[in-house]
Amino acid sequence: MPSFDPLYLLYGGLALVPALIWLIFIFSKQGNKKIQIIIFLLGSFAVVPIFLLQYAFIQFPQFDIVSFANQHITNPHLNFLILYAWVAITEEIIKQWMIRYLDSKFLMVQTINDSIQFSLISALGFSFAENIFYFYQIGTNFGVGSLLVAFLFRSIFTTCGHLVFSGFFGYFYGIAKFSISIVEHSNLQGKKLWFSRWLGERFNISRIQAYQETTILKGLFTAIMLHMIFNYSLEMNNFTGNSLFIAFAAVFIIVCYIVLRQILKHRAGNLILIDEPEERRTSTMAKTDEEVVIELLGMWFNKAKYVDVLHICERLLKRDPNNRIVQLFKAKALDKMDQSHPYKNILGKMFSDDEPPAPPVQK
Amino acid sequence: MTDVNIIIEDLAVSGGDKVAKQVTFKGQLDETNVDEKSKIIYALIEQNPKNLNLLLDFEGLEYMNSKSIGYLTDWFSKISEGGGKIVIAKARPNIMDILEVVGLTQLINTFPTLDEAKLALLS
Repeated sequence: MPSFDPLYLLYGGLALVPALIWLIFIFSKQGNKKIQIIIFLLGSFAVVPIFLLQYAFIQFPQFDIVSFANQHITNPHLNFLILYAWVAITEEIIKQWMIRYLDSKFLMVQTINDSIQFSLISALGFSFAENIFYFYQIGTNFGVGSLLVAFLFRSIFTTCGHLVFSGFFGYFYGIAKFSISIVEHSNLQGKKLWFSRWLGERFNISRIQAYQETTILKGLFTAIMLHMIFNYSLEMNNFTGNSLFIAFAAVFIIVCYIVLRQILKHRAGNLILIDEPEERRTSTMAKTDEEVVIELLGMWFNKAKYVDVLHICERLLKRDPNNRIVQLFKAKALDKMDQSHPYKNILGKMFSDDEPPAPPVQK
Repeated sequence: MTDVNIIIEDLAVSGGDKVAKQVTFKGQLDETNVDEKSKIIYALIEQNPKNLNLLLDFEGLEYMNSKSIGYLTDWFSKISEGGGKIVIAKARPNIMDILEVVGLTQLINTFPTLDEAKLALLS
């Protein structure tokens, strides 16, 4: 039986440094720390199934797709692609499964941004555990110089990469989770969602369910593709010795990270879209009349009349404070308005989400 | 196709180049007729680009869809640009509710009777 090498503790401490820095950098002011720690720890355990899978392939090489490809495909680029596609698929599926599992147990995702944030923490846990093994391998086999280079690169770019891949999945998972409100909102904007409709008819499922499934798959596909591009660029750097590939990988991750941060700033992402049964039909407006106004919101949103949309949303929310569609229109209208628009600043303060909703008007 | 009748009548005005009309709606303005019927009002605005004063009698109007609210806003803008005025009379509670939430009652004066609306329009 292999004995535990105490050096793992040393490398574990080393791997904890970037994890803590990222954790502070991203989550210093937000969220429930206890849940974040649990997700981080579970995220770090997500490496276990991957190691088990690798162990299983050693035991049963006939099932090892990558070895099979190596033996039968001579083109090295294709081989790298297959290898990294496999790595990306297994890692991303396990990371996203962790989030879906935790959410199904604890219903922790209440907003799209929650979904992104929890995915990021889980990815950070995963990256932490992965770094321990990489640092151990590099430190014991190649010495301190290589370890320092690996430490810096993995701490900044590889960890950021994991955050980005999972963050994008989290974004799509959040959209999928709240697809009832989002599909309705899209309908009001005149979007037909043809693919979901076709899929729903083809597999005899509701359009919302079809939208949900395709959105999750879209998220998974995006995470896998980003992961593959990053890994492939790094491998091409090793293979060709051309450092442009490593520069590309670094820039690629930074750009993806900036895009993700922008997504996190969207007000619509912070909306609590969980539909509480006790909150249903608290409106003081007749249903048909409210539908007319919401349809009008869709029309004016499409015509980019965001200021009018905001004003109507504000009045309608006084009558129906829990209407998710109206909340979504309001948040999206604020998101759509130019950041530097002075009117947005004024409206943003006037219509702050922090204020308690006004009491409903009695008819 | 749902039916809606629009009747246009002249209102007497004292002097000047002011034009005043009473437009009476009866029925429901919905997706099946709103585009067609709105042309009547647009034609009226086109014929009287300046100083058009419209009294919209909504007593017989049972329902307005979102598009008709959009048209109403557009009529208000066009008539206001031409120096005219627009008022609404006798709107039913459901219509008033929608107009209030949309914010149109802040732009267009509404009155419970035709006489009050006429007085406000022609004063």
